[in-house]
Amino acid sequence: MFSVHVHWPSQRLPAEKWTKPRAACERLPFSQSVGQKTGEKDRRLTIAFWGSALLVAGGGAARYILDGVGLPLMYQTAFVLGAVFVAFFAVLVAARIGDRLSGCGAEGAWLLGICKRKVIDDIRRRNRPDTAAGGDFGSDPTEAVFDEKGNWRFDPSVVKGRPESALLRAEFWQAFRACLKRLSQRQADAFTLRELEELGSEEICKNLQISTSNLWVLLHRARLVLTQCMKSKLEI
Amino acid sequence: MLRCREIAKLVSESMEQQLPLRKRMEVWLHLKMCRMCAAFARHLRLLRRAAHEAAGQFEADSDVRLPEPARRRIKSILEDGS
Repeated sequence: MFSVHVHWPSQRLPAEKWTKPRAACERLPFSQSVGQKTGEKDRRLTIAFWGSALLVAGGGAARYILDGVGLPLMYQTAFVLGAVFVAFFAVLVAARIGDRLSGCGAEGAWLLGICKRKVIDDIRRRNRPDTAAGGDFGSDPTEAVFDEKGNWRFDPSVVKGRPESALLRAEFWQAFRACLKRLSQRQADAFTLRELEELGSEEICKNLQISTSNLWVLLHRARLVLTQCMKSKLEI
Repeated sequence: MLRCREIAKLVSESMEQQLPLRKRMEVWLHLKMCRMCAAFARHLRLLRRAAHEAAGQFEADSDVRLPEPARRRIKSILEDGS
């Protein structure tokens, strides 16, 4: 009796015990055992088996994807924990409601579906602020600053001489303030938080709901815009 | 060999975190050769400094302090309470 449960779930049933499955079930290896009218205990075992397999695989996949995105480790861990949490509840819900379902492969497919959708929902929800703005980094000044070969279109040396003397000139501050207004909203947010408030990147990312690499893109564009704008204001 | 466009991006990134050694060397070498990118790097440092001073200025401007009598009053209330 005990050895039966250690085996792969599909091996548990003798062949003559199950009738010919519907077409959809034949593709799902786990539906053989899940879909048949086995005992209550068997069904729960199968759900537990596939649920834990999903948890492990989902956690690993999330880690792998997040590594590629390049989020800080703390966010990664939090994300994976969140995903596992969500998946765990999905399994719980599935085990409760799955009892009421019958039919070939229904539970298995349903469990898989609900887990997949839950995890995807979670990812979407977390990424919404970033993607909802359409990856909004403001206008891209790269074309205006660099030619097609990637060389400077203008000399970015805005002020001549020592920087200390520039900071004493009224025109410099006028240009600085005027050019800050040229930045798009998100560029200005990023630049202000980083350079004026002097917050760390992690805090800014939290405030703006963006990833570190997106913050760098924003900052870089803001700096290019500022350079170009101050150049045009200070040296006409 | 990276172009000025990529170097500028790396220079900007280096304001946020230390670059990997290989990139740092590449940027360093490029900055030694390219007057324009060196000027850009200098300008970024100037921007940071200007922003720092501007922030200090804003703070000094908007330094709203509690009037001295009110401060004394609150202080005495706190001391009485404790």
